[in-house]
Amino acid sequence: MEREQVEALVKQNDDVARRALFEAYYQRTFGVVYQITRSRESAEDLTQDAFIKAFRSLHQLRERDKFGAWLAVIATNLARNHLKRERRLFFSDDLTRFESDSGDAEAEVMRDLEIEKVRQAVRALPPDQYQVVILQYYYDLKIEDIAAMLQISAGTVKSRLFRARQKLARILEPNFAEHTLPIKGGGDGR
Amino acid sequence: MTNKQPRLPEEELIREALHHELHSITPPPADAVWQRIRARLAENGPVSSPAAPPSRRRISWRRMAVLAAALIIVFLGGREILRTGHFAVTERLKGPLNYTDTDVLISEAGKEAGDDTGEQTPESAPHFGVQWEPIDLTALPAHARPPEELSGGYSLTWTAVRQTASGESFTAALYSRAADSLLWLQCAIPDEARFTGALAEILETPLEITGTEAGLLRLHIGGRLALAWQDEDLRRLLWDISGTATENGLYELYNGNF
Repeated sequence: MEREQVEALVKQNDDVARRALFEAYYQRTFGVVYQITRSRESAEDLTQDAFIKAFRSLHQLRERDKFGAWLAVIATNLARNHLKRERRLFFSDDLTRFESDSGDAEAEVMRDLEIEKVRQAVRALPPDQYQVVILQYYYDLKIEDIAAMLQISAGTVKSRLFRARQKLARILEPNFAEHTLPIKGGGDGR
Repeated sequence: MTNKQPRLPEEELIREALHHELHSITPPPADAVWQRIRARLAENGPVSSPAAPPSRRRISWRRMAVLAAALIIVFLGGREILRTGHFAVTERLKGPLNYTDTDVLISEAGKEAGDDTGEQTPESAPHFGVQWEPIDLTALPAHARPPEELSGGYSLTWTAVRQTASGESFTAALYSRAADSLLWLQCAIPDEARFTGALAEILETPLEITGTEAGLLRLHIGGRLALAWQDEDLRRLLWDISGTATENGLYELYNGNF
Protein backbone atom coordinates (compact mmCIF):
# COMPACT_ATOMS: atom_id res chain seq x y z
CA MET A 1 0.00 0.00 0.00
CA GLU A 2 2.64 2.46 1.11
CA ARG A 3 4.95 1.41 -1.68
CA GLU A 4 2.18 1.78 -4.27
CA GLN A 5 1.33 5.28 -3.11
CA VAL A 6 4.92 6.34 -3.16
CA GLU A 7 5.44 4.93 -6.62
CA ALA A 8 2.26 6.57 -7.87
CA LEU A 9 3.50 9.85 -6.52
CA VAL A 10 6.92 9.53 -8.05
CA LYS A 11 5.65 8.43 -11.42
CA GLN A 12 2.45 10.38 -11.81
CA ASN A 13 2.54 13.15 -9.23
CA ASP A 14 -0.70 11.68 -7.94
CA ASP A 15 -2.43 14.02 -5.51
CA VAL A 16 -4.70 11.27 -4.20
CA ALA A 17 -1.68 9.17 -3.28
CA ARG A 18 -0.09 12.16 -1.63
CA ARG A 19 -3.19 12.85 0.42
CA ALA A 20 -3.38 9.18 1.43
CA LEU A 21 0.20 9.26 2.68
CA PHE A 22 -0.50 12.45 4.56
CA GLU A 23 -3.58 10.97 6.19
CA ALA A 24 -1.72 7.80 7.12
CA TYR A 25 1.21 9.53 8.76
CA TYR A 26 -0.01 12.92 9.92
CA GLN A 27 -0.89 12.04 13.48
CA ARG A 28 2.17 9.96 14.29
CA THR A 29 4.49 12.45 12.63
CA PHE A 30 2.96 15.28 14.61
CA GLY A 31 3.35 13.11 17.72
CA VAL A 32 7.02 12.46 17.08
CA VAL A 33 7.76 16.14 16.49
CA TYR A 34 5.69 17.27 19.45
CA GLN A 35 7.60 14.86 21.62
CA ILE A 36 10.81 16.72 20.80
CA THR A 37 9.61 20.31 20.66
CA ARG A 38 6.96 20.19 23.38
CA SER A 39 5.17 22.95 21.54
CA ARG A 40 2.02 22.34 19.54
CA GLU A 41 2.57 25.40 17.42
CA SER A 42 6.12 24.42 16.50
CA ALA A 43 5.10 20.81 16.00
CA GLU A 44 2.36 21.84 13.58
CA ASP A 45 4.73 23.97 11.51
CA LEU A 46 7.48 21.37 11.53
CA THR A 47 5.11 18.53 10.64
CA GLN A 48 3.92 20.57 7.71
CA ASP A 49 7.51 21.27 6.67
CA ALA A 50 8.40 17.59 7.01
CA PHE A 51 5.65 16.53 4.63
CA ILE A 52 6.58 19.21 2.14
CA LYS A 53 10.22 18.22 2.28
CA ALA A 54 9.34 14.55 1.96
CA PHE A 55 7.03 15.08 -1.01
CA ARG A 56 9.57 17.26 -2.74
CA SER A 57 12.35 14.74 -2.39
CA LEU A 58 10.37 11.56 -2.63
CA HIS A 59 12.38 10.36 -5.59
CA GLN A 60 15.34 10.03 -3.23
CA LEU A 61 13.58 7.37 -1.18
CA ARG A 62 15.00 4.09 -2.38
CA GLU A 63 13.09 1.67 -0.19
CA ARG A 64 9.60 2.84 -0.91
CA ASP A 65 7.95 0.70 1.71
CA LYS A 66 9.76 2.74 4.35
CA PHE A 67 8.11 6.08 3.71
CA GLY A 68 6.91 6.37 7.31
CA ALA A 69 10.33 5.86 8.82
CA TRP A 70 11.91 8.15 6.26
CA LEU A 71 9.35 10.84 7.02
CA ALA A 72 10.05 10.36 10.73
CA VAL A 73 13.76 10.94 10.08
CA ILE A 74 12.99 14.15 8.19
CA ALA A 75 10.58 15.30 10.89
CA THR A 76 12.86 14.53 13.82
CA ASN A 77 15.81 16.16 12.09
CA LEU A 78 13.72 19.29 11.56
CA ALA A 79 12.65 19.20 15.19
CA ARG A 80 16.21 18.83 16.41
CA ASN A 81 17.38 21.68 14.21
CA HIS A 82 14.50 23.76 15.51
CA LEU A 83 15.69 23.18 19.07
CA LYS A 84 19.17 24.16 18.02
CA ARG A 85 17.98 27.40 16.46
CA GLU A 86 15.93 28.15 19.52
CA ARG A 87 19.02 27.45 21.57
CA ARG A 88 16.87 25.26 23.69
CA LEU A 89 18.13 22.11 25.16
CA PHE A 90 16.16 19.11 26.04
CA PHE A 91 15.49 19.10 29.75
CA SER A 92 15.61 15.77 31.42
CA ASP A 93 16.22 16.82 34.98
CA ASP A 94 12.55 17.15 35.82
CA LEU A 95 11.91 13.50 35.40
CA THR A 96 9.76 11.60 37.72
CA ARG A 97 11.47 8.60 39.12
CA PHE A 98 8.91 5.93 39.50
CA GLU A 99 8.62 3.71 42.44
CA SER A 100 8.11 0.04 41.83
CA ASP A 101 4.59 -1.22 42.12
CA SER A 102 4.33 -4.09 44.46
CA GLY A 103 0.61 -4.36 44.98
CA ASP A 104 -1.74 -7.10 43.87
CA ALA A 105 -3.33 -5.21 41.00
CA GLU A 106 -4.69 -7.07 38.04
CA ALA A 107 -2.16 -7.95 35.35
CA GLU A 108 -3.80 -5.64 32.85
CA VAL A 109 -3.71 -2.70 35.22
CA MET A 110 -0.09 -3.46 35.95
CA ARG A 111 0.62 -3.56 32.25
CA ASP A 112 -1.01 -0.17 31.77
CA LEU A 113 1.03 1.25 34.59
CA GLU A 114 4.20 -0.14 33.08
CA ILE A 115 3.34 1.33 29.72
CA GLU A 116 2.70 4.70 31.28
CA LYS A 117 6.07 4.55 33.01
CA VAL A 118 7.82 3.73 29.76
CA ARG A 119 5.98 6.56 28.02
CA GLN A 120 7.16 8.99 30.66
CA ALA A 121 10.68 7.64 30.39
CA VAL A 122 10.72 7.87 26.61
CA ARG A 123 9.57 11.50 26.83
CA ALA A 124 12.68 12.21 28.86
CA LEU A 125 15.13 10.94 26.26
CA PRO A 126 17.33 13.47 24.47
CA PRO A 127 16.21 14.04 20.86
CA ASP A 128 19.01 12.07 19.23
CA GLN A 129 18.30 9.03 21.38
CA TYR A 130 14.55 9.43 21.02
CA GLN A 131 15.03 9.47 17.26
CA VAL A 132 16.76 6.08 17.13
CA VAL A 133 14.35 4.56 19.64
CA ILE A 134 11.40 5.58 17.47
CA LEU A 135 13.05 4.20 14.38
CA GLN A 136 13.91 0.89 15.97
CA TYR A 137 10.91 0.23 18.15
CA TYR A 138 8.11 2.01 16.34
CA TYR A 139 9.16 1.67 12.71
CA ASP A 140 10.98 -1.64 13.26
CA LEU A 141 14.06 -0.61 11.36
CA LYS A 142 17.27 -2.56 11.65
CA ILE A 143 20.34 -0.82 12.98
CA GLU A 144 21.88 -0.76 9.52
CA ASP A 145 18.75 0.85 8.07
CA ILE A 146 18.68 3.47 10.81
CA ALA A 147 22.33 4.22 10.18
CA ALA A 148 21.69 4.62 6.47
CA MET A 149 18.71 6.89 6.99
CA LEU A 150 20.44 9.08 9.52
CA GLN A 151 23.73 8.96 7.60
CA ILE A 152 25.67 7.90 10.64
CA SER A 153 27.55 4.73 11.41
CA ALA A 154 25.93 1.62 12.83
CA GLY A 155 28.22 2.07 15.82
CA THR A 156 26.77 5.49 16.52
CA VAL A 157 23.25 4.09 16.28
CA LYS A 158 24.15 1.33 18.71
CA SER A 159 25.74 3.85 21.02
CA ARG A 160 22.62 6.01 21.05
CA LEU A 161 20.40 3.01 21.60
CA PHE A 162 22.64 1.83 24.38
CA ARG A 163 22.49 5.18 26.11
CA ALA A 164 18.73 5.39 25.58
CA ARG A 165 18.19 1.98 27.12
CA GLN A 166 20.46 2.93 29.98
CA LYS A 167 18.41 6.03 30.66
CA LEU A 168 15.13 4.16 30.41
CA ALA A 169 16.34 1.55 32.81
CA ARG A 170 17.73 4.15 35.17
CA ILE A 171 14.47 6.03 35.31
CA LEU A 172 12.42 2.91 35.73
CA GLU A 173 14.73 1.23 38.16
CA PRO A 174 15.75 3.33 41.16
CA ASN A 175 18.61 1.03 42.00
CA PHE A 176 19.88 0.86 38.47
CA ALA A 177 23.18 2.51 39.28
CA GLU A 178 24.20 -0.64 41.09
CA HIS A 179 23.78 -2.75 38.03
CA THR A 180 25.18 -3.16 34.59
CA LEU A 181 22.73 -2.86 31.78
CA PRO A 182 22.75 -5.74 29.34
CA ILE A 183 22.75 -4.76 25.70
CA LYS A 184 20.06 -6.13 23.47
CA GLY A 185 20.51 -6.41 19.75
CA GLY A 186 23.02 -3.62 19.65
CA GLY A 187 26.32 -5.43 19.56
CA ASP A 188 28.65 -4.13 22.18
CA GLY A 189 26.77 -0.94 22.70
CA ARG A 190 29.11 1.26 20.78
CA MET B 1 25.42 -13.55 38.51
CA THR B 2 25.55 -11.79 41.83
CA ASN B 3 23.70 -8.72 40.62
CA LYS B 4 20.05 -8.94 39.95
CA GLN B 5 19.09 -8.06 36.40
CA PRO B 6 18.03 -4.41 36.05
CA ARG B 7 14.36 -4.08 35.25
CA LEU B 8 14.87 -3.04 31.68
CA PRO B 9 11.55 -2.43 29.94
CA GLU B 10 10.77 -5.27 27.60
CA GLU B 11 11.05 -4.40 23.96
CA GLU B 12 7.37 -5.07 23.46
CA LEU B 13 6.60 -2.73 26.29
CA ILE B 14 8.61 -0.01 24.60
CA ARG B 15 6.84 -0.63 21.31
CA GLU B 16 3.46 -0.51 22.98
CA ALA B 17 4.33 2.61 24.92
CA LEU B 18 5.50 4.36 21.77
CA HIS B 19 2.33 3.39 19.98
CA HIS B 20 0.23 4.76 22.82
CA GLU B 21 2.33 7.88 22.95
CA LEU B 22 2.20 8.74 19.27
CA HIS B 23 -1.44 7.91 18.83
CA SER B 24 -2.71 9.60 21.96
CA ILE B 25 -1.62 13.06 20.88
CA THR B 26 -4.38 14.93 19.10
CA PRO B 27 -2.88 17.00 16.32
CA PRO B 28 -4.47 20.13 14.88
CA PRO B 29 -7.19 19.41 12.29
CA ALA B 30 -5.64 17.59 9.37
CA ASP B 31 -7.60 19.42 6.70
CA ALA B 32 -6.16 22.82 7.50
CA VAL B 33 -2.63 21.47 7.56
CA TRP B 34 -3.19 19.57 4.34
CA GLN B 35 -4.46 22.67 2.58
CA ARG B 36 -1.37 24.59 3.60
CA ILE B 37 0.85 21.75 2.41
CA ARG B 38 -0.93 21.67 -0.93
CA ALA B 39 -0.62 25.42 -1.30
CA ARG B 40 3.10 25.30 -0.52
CA LEU B 41 3.66 22.44 -2.90
CA ALA B 42 1.72 24.21 -5.64
CA GLU B 43 3.99 27.24 -5.36
CA ASN B 44 6.83 25.23 -6.81
CA GLY B 45 5.00 23.02 -9.27
CA PRO B 46 5.23 19.24 -9.42
CA VAL B 47 7.23 17.86 -6.58
CA SER B 48 7.68 14.18 -6.98
CA SER B 49 9.44 14.05 -10.31
CA PRO B 50 13.04 13.12 -10.01
CA ALA B 51 15.22 16.17 -10.09
CA ALA B 52 17.60 16.65 -12.96
CA PRO B 53 20.50 14.27 -12.59
CA PRO B 54 23.20 15.91 -10.53
CA SER B 55 26.42 16.87 -12.16
CA ARG B 56 28.38 13.72 -11.69
CA ARG B 57 31.60 15.40 -12.54
CA ARG B 58 31.18 18.10 -9.90
CA ILE B 59 30.25 15.65 -7.14
CA SER B 60 33.01 13.33 -8.13
CA TRP B 61 35.65 16.06 -7.97
CA ARG B 62 34.39 17.32 -4.64
CA ARG B 63 34.48 13.86 -3.18
CA MET B 64 37.92 13.27 -4.53
CA ALA B 65 39.19 16.52 -3.01
CA VAL B 66 37.75 15.64 0.39
CA LEU B 67 39.17 12.14 0.18
CA ALA B 68 42.59 13.43 -0.83
CA ALA B 69 42.65 15.93 2.05
CA ALA B 70 41.61 13.25 4.51
CA LEU B 71 44.26 10.87 3.23
CA ILE B 72 46.96 13.51 3.58
CA ILE B 73 45.94 14.25 7.16
CA VAL B 74 45.79 10.58 8.07
CA PHE B 75 49.10 9.89 6.35
CA LEU B 76 50.94 12.77 8.01
CA GLY B 77 49.43 12.08 11.40
CA GLY B 78 50.07 8.36 11.17
CA ARG B 79 53.66 8.89 10.06
CA GLU B 80 54.36 11.09 13.05
CA ILE B 81 52.68 8.73 15.46
CA LEU B 82 54.72 5.84 14.14
CA ARG B 83 57.87 7.91 14.27
CA THR B 84 57.54 9.28 17.76
CA GLY B 85 55.36 6.81 19.59
CA HIS B 86 53.77 9.55 21.66
CA PHE B 87 51.56 12.54 21.27
CA ALA B 88 51.05 16.18 22.00
CA VAL B 89 48.28 18.63 21.29
CA THR B 90 49.79 21.94 20.37
CA GLU B 91 48.42 25.26 19.34
CA ARG B 92 49.51 28.72 18.46
CA LEU B 93 48.21 31.44 20.67
CA LYS B 94 49.39 34.55 18.90
CA GLY B 95 45.85 35.20 17.79
CA PRO B 96 42.73 33.33 17.01
CA LEU B 97 43.12 33.82 13.29
CA ASN B 98 46.45 32.03 13.31
CA TYR B 99 44.87 28.71 14.11
CA THR B 100 44.88 26.11 11.41
CA ASP B 101 44.16 22.47 11.37
CA THR B 102 47.87 21.83 11.45
CA ASP B 103 48.02 23.41 14.87
CA VAL B 104 47.09 20.02 16.18
CA LEU B 105 50.40 18.33 15.83
CA ILE B 106 52.06 15.23 16.88
CA SER B 107 55.17 16.29 18.73
CA GLU B 108 58.64 15.15 17.91
CA ALA B 109 60.23 12.79 20.32
CA GLY B 110 63.03 15.14 21.27
CA LYS B 111 60.67 17.99 21.85
CA GLU B 112 59.17 16.43 24.92
CA ALA B 113 62.02 17.52 27.16
CA GLY B 114 62.24 20.82 25.37
CA ASP B 115 58.67 21.63 26.25
CA ASP B 116 59.44 21.31 29.91
CA THR B 117 62.72 23.13 29.86
CA GLY B 118 62.04 25.75 27.25
CA GLU B 119 64.78 24.33 25.05
CA GLN B 120 64.66 23.14 21.47
CA THR B 121 61.79 25.33 20.47
CA PRO B 122 62.08 26.05 16.78
CA GLU B 123 60.62 29.23 15.41
CA SER B 124 57.79 27.38 13.82
CA ALA B 125 56.92 25.49 16.96
CA PRO B 126 53.73 26.31 18.78
CA HIS B 127 53.88 28.44 21.86
CA PHE B 128 53.11 25.61 24.15
CA GLY B 129 52.94 21.90 24.03
CA VAL B 130 50.68 19.66 26.06
CA GLN B 131 51.82 16.15 26.57
CA TRP B 132 49.24 13.48 26.24
CA GLU B 133 49.47 9.74 26.62
CA PRO B 134 47.90 7.23 24.28
CA ILE B 135 44.78 5.63 25.66
CA ASP B 136 43.19 2.26 25.21
CA LEU B 137 39.56 3.15 24.58
CA THR B 138 38.41 -0.38 25.22
CA ALA B 139 39.51 0.07 28.82
CA LEU B 140 36.86 2.75 29.25
CA PRO B 141 33.26 1.89 30.06
CA ALA B 142 31.08 2.16 26.97
CA HIS B 143 29.32 5.33 28.07
CA ALA B 144 32.67 7.07 28.63
CA ARG B 145 34.15 6.33 25.23
CA PRO B 146 34.25 9.07 22.63
CA PRO B 147 31.97 8.49 19.63
CA GLU B 148 33.63 6.69 16.75
CA GLU B 149 32.63 9.53 14.47
CA LEU B 150 30.58 12.69 14.50
CA SER B 151 27.75 13.44 12.14
CA GLY B 152 28.70 15.58 9.19
CA GLY B 153 31.62 13.39 8.20
CA TYR B 154 33.98 13.89 11.12
CA SER B 155 36.24 10.90 11.75
CA LEU B 156 37.99 10.05 14.96
CA THR B 157 41.70 10.48 14.24
CA TRP B 158 43.41 10.60 17.61
CA THR B 159 42.71 9.82 21.23
CA ALA B 160 44.76 10.40 24.35
CA VAL B 161 44.63 11.02 28.06
CA ARG B 162 46.32 13.48 30.36
CA GLN B 163 46.14 14.24 34.05
CA THR B 164 46.12 17.59 35.74
CA ALA B 165 48.58 18.36 38.51
CA SER B 166 45.92 17.38 41.00
CA GLY B 167 45.40 14.04 39.30
CA GLU B 168 42.19 14.65 37.41
CA SER B 169 42.17 12.71 34.21
CA PHE B 170 41.04 14.14 30.87
CA THR B 171 40.29 11.97 27.87
CA ALA B 172 40.69 13.65 24.51
CA ALA B 173 39.54 12.72 21.04
CA LEU B 174 40.31 14.58 17.86
CA TYR B 175 37.81 14.51 15.02
CA SER B 176 38.79 15.61 11.55
CA ARG B 177 36.97 16.41 8.35
CA ALA B 178 39.25 17.81 5.68
CA ALA B 179 40.50 21.09 7.16
CA ASP B 180 38.06 21.03 10.07
CA SER B 181 39.10 19.70 13.45
CA LEU B 182 37.17 19.31 16.64
CA LEU B 183 38.58 18.36 19.99
CA TRP B 184 36.35 16.40 22.34
CA LEU B 185 37.36 16.34 25.98
CA GLN B 186 35.93 14.50 28.91
CA CYS B 187 36.59 14.34 32.60
CA ALA B 188 34.77 13.37 35.76
CA ILE B 189 34.74 16.70 37.57
CA PRO B 190 31.23 17.48 38.72
CA ASP B 191 31.85 21.06 39.79
CA GLU B 192 31.70 23.54 36.93
CA ALA B 193 34.28 25.98 38.28
CA ARG B 194 36.72 23.18 38.97
CA PHE B 195 36.09 21.78 35.54
CA THR B 196 36.86 25.04 33.73
CA GLY B 197 39.92 25.56 35.92
CA ALA B 198 41.20 22.10 35.10
CA LEU B 199 40.39 22.69 31.47
CA ALA B 200 42.50 25.81 31.33
CA GLU B 201 45.30 23.92 33.04
CA ILE B 202 45.15 20.91 30.77
CA LEU B 203 45.00 22.98 27.59
CA GLU B 204 47.35 25.66 28.88
CA THR B 205 45.10 28.08 27.10
CA PRO B 206 43.08 31.00 28.40
CA LEU B 207 39.39 30.42 28.27
CA GLU B 208 36.39 32.60 28.67
CA ILE B 209 32.86 31.54 29.51
CA THR B 210 30.60 33.50 27.20
CA GLY B 211 27.25 32.09 28.16
CA THR B 212 25.24 29.40 29.86
CA GLU B 213 21.99 28.09 28.46
CA ALA B 214 20.06 25.27 30.02
CA GLY B 215 23.14 23.56 31.29
CA LEU B 216 25.17 24.10 28.14
CA LEU B 217 28.26 26.18 28.71
CA ARG B 218 29.50 28.29 25.81
CA LEU B 219 33.19 29.14 25.90
CA HIS B 220 35.93 30.75 23.93
CA ILE B 221 39.17 28.84 24.26
CA GLY B 222 42.12 30.49 22.60
CA GLY B 223 39.59 32.55 20.71
CA ARG B 224 37.80 29.50 19.39
CA LEU B 225 34.29 28.36 20.17
CA ALA B 226 33.61 25.48 22.49
CA LEU B 227 30.56 23.97 24.14
CA ALA B 228 30.65 22.11 27.43
CA TRP B 229 27.96 20.09 29.10
CA GLN B 230 27.41 17.50 31.77
CA ASP B 231 26.34 13.98 30.93
CA GLU B 232 25.52 12.21 34.14
CA ASP B 233 28.79 12.02 36.07
CA LEU B 234 30.96 13.24 33.22
CA ARG B 235 31.68 16.69 31.91
CA ARG B 236 32.37 17.00 28.21
CA LEU B 237 33.57 19.66 25.88
CA LEU B 238 33.55 20.08 22.13
CA TRP B 239 36.06 22.63 20.89
CA ASP B 240 36.30 23.93 17.36
CA ILE B 241 40.06 23.68 17.31
CA SER B 242 40.43 24.65 13.65
CA GLY B 243 38.21 27.70 13.99
CA THR B 244 36.22 26.75 10.92
CA ALA B 245 32.87 25.96 12.51
CA THR B 246 30.16 28.54 12.95
CA GLU B 247 28.36 28.84 16.24
CA ASN B 248 25.28 27.27 14.68
CA GLY B 249 27.43 24.54 13.22
CA LEU B 250 28.84 23.71 16.61
CA TYR B 251 25.37 23.62 18.16
CA GLU B 252 24.26 21.36 15.36
CA LEU B 253 27.17 19.02 15.99
CA TYR B 254 26.33 18.97 19.67
CA ASN B 255 22.65 18.32 19.05
CA GLY B 256 23.40 15.67 16.49
CA ASN B 257 25.94 13.73 18.45
CA PHE B 258 25.59 14.16 22.18
